[in-house]
Amino acid sequence: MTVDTQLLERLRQLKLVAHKHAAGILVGQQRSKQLGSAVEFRDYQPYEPGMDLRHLDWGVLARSDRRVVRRYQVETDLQCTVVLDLSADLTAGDAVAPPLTGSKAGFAVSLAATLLTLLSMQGESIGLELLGTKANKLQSFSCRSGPGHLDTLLFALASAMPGNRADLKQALRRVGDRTRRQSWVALISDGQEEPKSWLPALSGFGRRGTEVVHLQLYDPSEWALSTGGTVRLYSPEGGEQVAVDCDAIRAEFQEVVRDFVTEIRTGVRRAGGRHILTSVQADLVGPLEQAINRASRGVETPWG
Amino acid sequence: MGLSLTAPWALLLVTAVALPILAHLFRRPPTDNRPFGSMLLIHRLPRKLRRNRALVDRILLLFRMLAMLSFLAAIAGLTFYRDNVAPDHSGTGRVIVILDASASMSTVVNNKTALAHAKERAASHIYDLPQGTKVRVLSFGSQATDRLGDWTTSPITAVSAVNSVMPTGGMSNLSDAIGLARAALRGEVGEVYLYTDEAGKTMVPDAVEELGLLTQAGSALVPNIVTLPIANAGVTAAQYQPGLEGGEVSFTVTNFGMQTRDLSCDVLLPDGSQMRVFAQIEPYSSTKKRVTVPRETEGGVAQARCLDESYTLDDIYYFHVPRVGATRVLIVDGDPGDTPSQSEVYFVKRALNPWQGGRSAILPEVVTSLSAAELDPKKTRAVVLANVADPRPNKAALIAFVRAGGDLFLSMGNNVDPARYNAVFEEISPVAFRKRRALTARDEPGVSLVPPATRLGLFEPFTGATRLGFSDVHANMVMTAAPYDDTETLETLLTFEGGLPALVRKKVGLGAVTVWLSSIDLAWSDFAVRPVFPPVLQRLVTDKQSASQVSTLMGVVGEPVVVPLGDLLETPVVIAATGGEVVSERVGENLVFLPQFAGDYKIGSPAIAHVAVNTPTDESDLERKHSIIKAEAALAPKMFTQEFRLRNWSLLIGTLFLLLATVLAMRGKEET
Repeated sequence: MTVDTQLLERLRQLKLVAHKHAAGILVGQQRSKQLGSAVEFRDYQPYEPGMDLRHLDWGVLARSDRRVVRRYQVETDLQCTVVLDLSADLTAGDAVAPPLTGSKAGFAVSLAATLLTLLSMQGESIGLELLGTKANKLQSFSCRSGPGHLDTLLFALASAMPGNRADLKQALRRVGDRTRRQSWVALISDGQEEPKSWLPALSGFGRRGTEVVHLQLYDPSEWALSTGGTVRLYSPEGGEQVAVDCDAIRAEFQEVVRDFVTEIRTGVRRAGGRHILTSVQADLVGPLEQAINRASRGVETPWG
Repeated sequence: MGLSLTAPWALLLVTAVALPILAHLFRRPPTDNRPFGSMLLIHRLPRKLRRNRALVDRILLLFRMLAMLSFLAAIAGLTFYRDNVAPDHSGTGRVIVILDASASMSTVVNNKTALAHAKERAASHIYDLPQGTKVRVLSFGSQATDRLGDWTTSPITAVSAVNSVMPTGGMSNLSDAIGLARAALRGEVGEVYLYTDEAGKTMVPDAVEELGLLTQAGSALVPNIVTLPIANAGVTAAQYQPGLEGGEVSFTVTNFGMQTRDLSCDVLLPDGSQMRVFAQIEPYSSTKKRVTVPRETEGGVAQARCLDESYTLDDIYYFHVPRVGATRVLIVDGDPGDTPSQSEVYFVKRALNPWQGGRSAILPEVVTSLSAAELDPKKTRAVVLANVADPRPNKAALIAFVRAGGDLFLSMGNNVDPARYNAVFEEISPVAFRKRRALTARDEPGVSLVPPATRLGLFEPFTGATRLGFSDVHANMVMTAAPYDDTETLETLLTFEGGLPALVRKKVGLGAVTVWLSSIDLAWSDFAVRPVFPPVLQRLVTDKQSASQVSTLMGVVGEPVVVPLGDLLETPVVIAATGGEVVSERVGENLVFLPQFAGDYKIGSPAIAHVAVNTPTDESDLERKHSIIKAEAALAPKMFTQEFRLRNWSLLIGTLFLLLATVLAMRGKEET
C-alpha cells in the first residue's frame, strides 16, 4: 500500500484549520445543542393570517389583545449535509495543486471541513456530497455521527481534486431524495451554472422543511477583472475562448455580476433557503458563523 | 482597358502598406490565455461589447490599408486607359461621311434597312456639324463612289447626297472608300466617319493597308456601327447536274444565325415550273438539298430560293439549267411517196427515232406545212425540209428560226427547184444551188462518199470500220452548188469521190443550216439505208457542236461581267434584265457591264448569252468578324488609346479613407 504523504499532510492541515475555526466559533456561542433537548420556547412572532392557530398564545391575546404565536427551538439530532461543488471552474485563480491554496476550490474544501467539524462537535449527524471531482462526478457520504465518520469525510475532502463539471440540478435533486425532513443542507458552490437550471431544484427542500444555506463562493479579484488589459479567457471546464478587453468591459461586467448575485439570492430565498455570499479572500469564520447561527436558531434574517 | 503607372518606382513604397498591418498586429489581443471561473458571466455580457472591437479593428485596418494604397497610387501616378477608342478629331473643319451600301446593309432592322438607319445617323451628324464645316459624302459597295465630287459646306446638299445612296447589293469594298477619302483629304487631317454594319468576312482585312495610310496622315476612321440581327439564312450555291429523269438541281442553304431555321425552299425552272422542298438548318451550318428536274424542261436561268425575313438579297440564287428532254424535230414531207421506201419521211423518222418510243431523245414530228408558232427554237430544235417543192411561204419564219438558234436541214430531190431555193435561202444557205446532175446511170453503183477526214465534232463517234461505212454510201444524182470556200462559219462536212460537196453546214446567227446535196430517199442515193445515216442525222440535230449555243455565264453583283460578242461584234447588243436597265460597254470583242442586282441578264436579242448574277455570299454572314477600331488600333495604338490620370482622385480617396479610419479609431477609444 502506498502512503500518499502529500495527502496526509493536507489532511492534517485540514483538521487543524477545521478544529481551530470550529473551536473559536463554539467559544463565542451562547448556547449549544448540548445544553438541552426536546422542544424549547424561543420567542414570539406576530400572528399573520394563515399561521397555525395551535401556536397562537391565547394568554397574551387575553391579557393584551395582541395576536402572537409562540416559536420553539426543536432540539433533536439534526441531519446536516454539506454539498460541496468541486467543479473545475473552482480551480481558477492562483491555485497551487494539490493544496489548492489561493483558489476557490481550496477555500471551499477548508470551509466544508470546518463546517463538518463544527457540526460534528455539536453532535449532529453529518453527510457530504462532493460534486464535480476529478474522480467522480458525484460522491456521496450519508449522514452519520461520531468522530470516525468525521475523519472519513475529512479524508474524502483532503483527497478530492476538482476537475469535472458539477451538475448542480441533478446533484441537488439527488441530495433532496436522500435527506430527511427537517434537516439542514449547506451548498458550497460558486453557482457558475445557469441559475434557471438548478435553482428550481431547491424548492423541494423548502417544501419538506429542510433548511438550505447556499454559501456562494467568489473570488473578488476575478469579479473585479483585476488582470486588466486584453486577455483570452477560458473556462477550465471547457468551451470557447473569449478575448476580452478587461478594462473596456469592467463596468458592464460588474452589472452582470450584480444581476447574477441578485438572481441567485432571490432564487434561493424564494425556495426558503439562505444565501451567503462568501469571498474566498476573507476569513472562514464570518460565513461559518452566519451559516451555523441561523441553522441553530432557524431564524430568517436578511443577509448582507 | 487597363491601368498603368507613370512612376513605377513608387511601387517600392508598397511595403508601406504593411505599416497598418504591423500596427494592427501590434494592437492585436495578446495570446495570453487565462482560466476564468466565471465564464458564465462573461457569456452574459452583450456579445456586441466583446466582438465590436474585433470588427472595428478589421474595418480600421481595411481603411488604413486602402488609404495607404490610394496614396501609393497617387505617388505612382496611376493612370486608367481604354484602348480601341476612336480619337476625337472634331474641329478639323473637314468631314468625310462614308456610307456602307453593300448587300448586307439591306438587312431589315426594326422595320428599316440597315442602310436607312445609317443614313439617318449620318444626316443627323451632318446637321450637328458646326456651320462652315466642309463635308464630303462617299458610299461603297463593290466600288466606292464620291456622291458629290467635291466638298460642300451646305448641310442640305450633303444630306441630299446621303439620301441618294441606294443599296448596291455588292461586296463591302471599304478599301476603295478609304482610298477615295484619302484622295479627298490630300494628306491633311480630317474627320472620316463610317456608317457600316462591319459585316463581310474580308472587309476589314482588305482595308488594313488603306487604314494604315489614313492613320499615317493623322486621320482616323471612326465607325458608327449599325448592329444587325444575326439570324440570316440564305442560298449560297445552286447547280444543275445530269441524272435520273431530267437530272437534278442541288442547292446549299446556309444558316448564319444561332437558331435552327426551318425554311420552305423552291426551285423555279425557266419554264415556270416550281418544286418545293423544306430545309431544316442547324445554327452556323449548311445543308444541301436536291430536287429532281422533270424529264423535259426548257433551258435558261433557274432560281433556288429560300425566303427569310431579315436579309432578303441572298434568298434567291440564280443558276443555269440546260434544255432537258427530247429534241423535237419537225419533218416537212415534200414528197410523200407511194411506198415507204419512196418517202424521205420514212427514212428520216426511223433514223431519228429507231424504236419509235415516246421516251426517245429525239421526237420527230411530220408535218405537211409549217406554222410560225412551231418555228420557235425553244420548242423545236430542228426542221427538216425533205424535198420540199416550195419553201417560200415560210421564208421569213425559217430565217428567224435559224437566227434564233434553230437548225435547218435541207435535202434535195426531184421537187427541189434550185432557183426557188436560192431565192428563199440566199441569206442562210451554205451554198448556192445550181442544177441537178446525174453522176452515173441509175442502174450503176453511183459515186461513193469519201470518209470524213476529221475525227472531231460531228464525226467523233465514227472510228475504225464505222468510218469506212461512209464509203458504202453511193449517189447517182446530186444537186450541184456554185463554187465556195470553207470559212469559220461554213464547213464542208462530207464530199463525194471526185470532190463534189455532199454535206455542207453554215452557222447562221445562233443556229445552223445543213444541206445534203442528194436525196434522203432511194431516188438519188442509198444514204438513207446505210448504217451511217441514223447516227449522222441524229448528231446533226442534237450535237452541240453542230449549232451555235447560247453562252451561260455566272456573275456577282458589283463585279464586272465580260461577255464575248462573237458574231454580234458589229450589231448593237441590248442587255435585258428583270431588275431594270443595264449600262454596258464594249471592250475589244467583249461586252462588259456591271450588274447592280441579282437576276437573269439576257445578252442580245436573240440572246447570245445568259448571265446568272447573284449577291456575293460573303455578305450573307452578318456577323461582325473584324473590328475596324481594333484594326486601326493595331496600326496606331497611341491614337486609339484614351488615358485618364487618377492622381488627384487617388489623393482624394486616400484622404477620405484616412479620415474614416481616424473617425473609427476615435470612436473605438470612446467606447473603451
